[in-house]
Amino acid sequence: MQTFSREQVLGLAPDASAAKAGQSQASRARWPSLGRDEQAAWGECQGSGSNPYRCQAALDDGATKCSCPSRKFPCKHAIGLLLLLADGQAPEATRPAWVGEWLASRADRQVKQAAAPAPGADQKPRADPKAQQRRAANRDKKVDAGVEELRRWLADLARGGLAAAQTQPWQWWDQMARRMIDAQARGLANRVRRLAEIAAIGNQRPDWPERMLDELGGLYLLCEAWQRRESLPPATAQALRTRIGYTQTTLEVLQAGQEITDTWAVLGQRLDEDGQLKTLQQWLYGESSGEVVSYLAFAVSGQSLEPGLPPGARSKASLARYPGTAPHRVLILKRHDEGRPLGPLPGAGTWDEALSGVATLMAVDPWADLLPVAVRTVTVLPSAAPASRGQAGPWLLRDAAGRAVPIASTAEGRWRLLALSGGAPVDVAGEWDGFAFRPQAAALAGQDGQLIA
Amino acid sequence: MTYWTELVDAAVLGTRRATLPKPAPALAELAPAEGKQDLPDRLGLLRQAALASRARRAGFVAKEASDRPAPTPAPVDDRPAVSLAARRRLAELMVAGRPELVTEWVRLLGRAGRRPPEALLPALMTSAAGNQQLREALAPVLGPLAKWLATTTANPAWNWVLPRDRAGDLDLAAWTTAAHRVRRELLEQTRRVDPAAGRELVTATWSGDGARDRAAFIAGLGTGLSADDEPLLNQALSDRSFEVRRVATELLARLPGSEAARRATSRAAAAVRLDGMTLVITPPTEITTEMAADGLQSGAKAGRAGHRGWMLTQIAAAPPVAWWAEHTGLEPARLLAIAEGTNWADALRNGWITAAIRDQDSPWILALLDLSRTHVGPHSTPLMNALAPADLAGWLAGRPGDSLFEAFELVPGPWPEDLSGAVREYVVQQLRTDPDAFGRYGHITQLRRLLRIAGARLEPPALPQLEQPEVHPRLLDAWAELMNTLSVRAAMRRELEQEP
Repeated sequence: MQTFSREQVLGLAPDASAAKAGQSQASRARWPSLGRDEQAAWGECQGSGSNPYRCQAALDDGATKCSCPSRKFPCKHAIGLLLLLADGQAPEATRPAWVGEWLASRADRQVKQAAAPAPGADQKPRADPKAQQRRAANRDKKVDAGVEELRRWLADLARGGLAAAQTQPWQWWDQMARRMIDAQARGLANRVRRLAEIAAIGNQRPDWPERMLDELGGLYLLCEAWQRRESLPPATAQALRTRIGYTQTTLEVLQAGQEITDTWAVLGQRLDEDGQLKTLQQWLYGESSGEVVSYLAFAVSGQSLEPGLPPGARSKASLARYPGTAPHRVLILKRHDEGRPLGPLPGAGTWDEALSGVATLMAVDPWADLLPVAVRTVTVLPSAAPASRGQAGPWLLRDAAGRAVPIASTAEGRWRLLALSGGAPVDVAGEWDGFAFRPQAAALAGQDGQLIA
Repeated sequence: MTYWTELVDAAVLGTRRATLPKPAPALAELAPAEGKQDLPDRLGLLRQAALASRARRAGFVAKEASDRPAPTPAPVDDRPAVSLAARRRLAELMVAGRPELVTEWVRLLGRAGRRPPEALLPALMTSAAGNQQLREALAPVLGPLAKWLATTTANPAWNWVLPRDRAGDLDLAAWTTAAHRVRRELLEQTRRVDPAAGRELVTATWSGDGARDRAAFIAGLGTGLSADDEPLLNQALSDRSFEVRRVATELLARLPGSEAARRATSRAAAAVRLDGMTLVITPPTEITTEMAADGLQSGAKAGRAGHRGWMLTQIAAAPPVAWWAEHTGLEPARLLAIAEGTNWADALRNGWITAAIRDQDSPWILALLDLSRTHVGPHSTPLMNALAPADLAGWLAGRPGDSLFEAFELVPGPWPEDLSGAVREYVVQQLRTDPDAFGRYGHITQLRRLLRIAGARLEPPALPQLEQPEVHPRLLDAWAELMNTLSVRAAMRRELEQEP
């Protein structure tokens, strides 16, 4: 039967205070009535008012509804309800009428939605194909102008040199990023912001010029590819559009027909909060296909994140691939079970073997710059103790063939990996950014993997 | 120099100043033909960067590192691992910032005889460095891995994991140059193994040290105090700084055989004596040179009791508080009761409070706490702080209903059987009270606070399950949180017993 883990439930909370408030509601004592069946969990929660709030959750996707007046979504009662459910405290019961009504109205809506574009994409009614073409052409024109502006800006930057650019204030970069957002090219804006980040931490990282030139190269390639987009192979053209910032509707993804069912191990998860925007990213490793895909969800303040698959566990699910980027982004169509323990980690025998697929991926999507990588039996090499004043070298991860890559994690992340290994060889899965490796899951030989980041 | 690094160097300078390198042969054919470019040099760099950066990524090869030494693996820890659920629970508690529950989890881990989860050990060791209770719970369950981590990473925050230095290894040479805090620690460690060596450190730099240093170092003699320290303490009695004199007086009072202690008891005996069942109290009217030299102050800081009262307070505080029982032949409670009936009640009580806290004397502190709250009120927290937690728990178990709620915070969890039982009974009774019966101002607030604390410290069994309508609406939050915490703690116990 479908339930969510505590971590997943807390991840649903729109902010930290809602998560905390939710935990305080997760007490059986607060709920005069509480129950669950195959499809839903529900309960009445005593709030400050005289009537209890009616709160309910659908178990297939974690959607919730509550009669309280909170503007947060999900509200603390819904989080409390899901936490009680996760702890197995909701007893099997017969569904009350008000829950049945809600489930019915949801099913109704889902049928209608399948025919309509998903929220977040261009939401206008798709009445007139001509008007639609006109809108698409208008957007392309805007992007054309943005790309031309960015090209000139990049040329000026190259002329003045990276050393000069590195000393520019944040606003200088931010202004350009905003211009790209105005040009409806969010992907370009994000890359400009990444340049600003490289510049900002330049003083602490001796390799910043290399990273900045790498980023500039990728950005320039986007500009030039856009201007020659008619002559690109279709897969690369699709990757380009996605990287520039064009989104695809759920319907488009479903129509592309790339559905895949497998048991997926979630070997990496990152949850970012940037002001109002929350982002969840997971790397899903397919057990029988060997394919690795990326699940991505966004939520602005007040909305909840679609939780993805249970982190640090294996579960069977049907996914749909987005056309375009490598590795593929996916949509979760159906979860077939709840998570089971991870089991041993997959992985290549050496770094060379693990990184050999990079060229193939980049041949389709040259902007694939953050890649999931798994290697077995690597040894953590802590940097030599900081010699007097000099900077300690990076920590390395050495494979069985004696070759090594730098570890990108924070000090805490490196310590966790070192502690887990105890100096023995470990199997790791994580992210390769072209310069260093950030481990996200690890396992000692013959043991179950666990998330460490 | 590879083509890529040459390109990076050129990019740092910019195309206005630098000449671009010749593209690598493999890239040359992809590079744009000369003359076709709209802005030749500048775009030349960007185009080359686009090609070269993609080529570098696609063709990346890990570097040879066979010769770099790897750490010797940590010795094997034979204890079984904890279950996945237990590991996740600990991770959640650490993220949620529940240090009390983390500490309890670690204690239970020791009881279950399992090893700490490896990946969470670094974070535990870091938190414990700044949290004494966690450190005390964690130290006995640390295995070989902890020591190995502290040595391998040389992380200074984990030094506490390594065995303490012995005196021979202490860097006594640092005494003259190190910072205040380091010198205090050095003195403390030296005194623990070799008090004479510690005293020599203090005298060595005495004339050059500032008042703050001198006061701290005299206080440091409190570790390993003996009659050998008397000359130095006597010398400190004539110090320029009041704080140095005060600390020296306190230490001398703890040296039963000292001249200063003898003077203190004879002054006290002269000022207060028992005649039948009445106290005859005659505080001195004038401060003598000898008294001043012993650290007594004149009435400049006159309290309510005036000049002579202040003299009496200081004289009563000077001897070890236990001496009063010998002197009068009375138990503290009895002596206090008689003193309360005199005109000098405040002055005497204040002196005894100071002495009882200084000497951490349980019978005296308990007797003082039993006095009416109006008299001891402002001192109750320092008094309770000076009491051993077990004694305080015993005392509180007898009176949970007393509004000394703040006292509960001073007894760390898990609360002993009798205190847990008393609190449980009291809480249930209070929760069921008719809402209108809570007349006293602030009572609800304090009760809410007690509920919050009790959640993390009550020894199981948990509270009986109450029906919601029975609970006062304003206590509902705190009560639900209490029940929640108790259920988390019950789950912790279950999960730690599960097979991994």
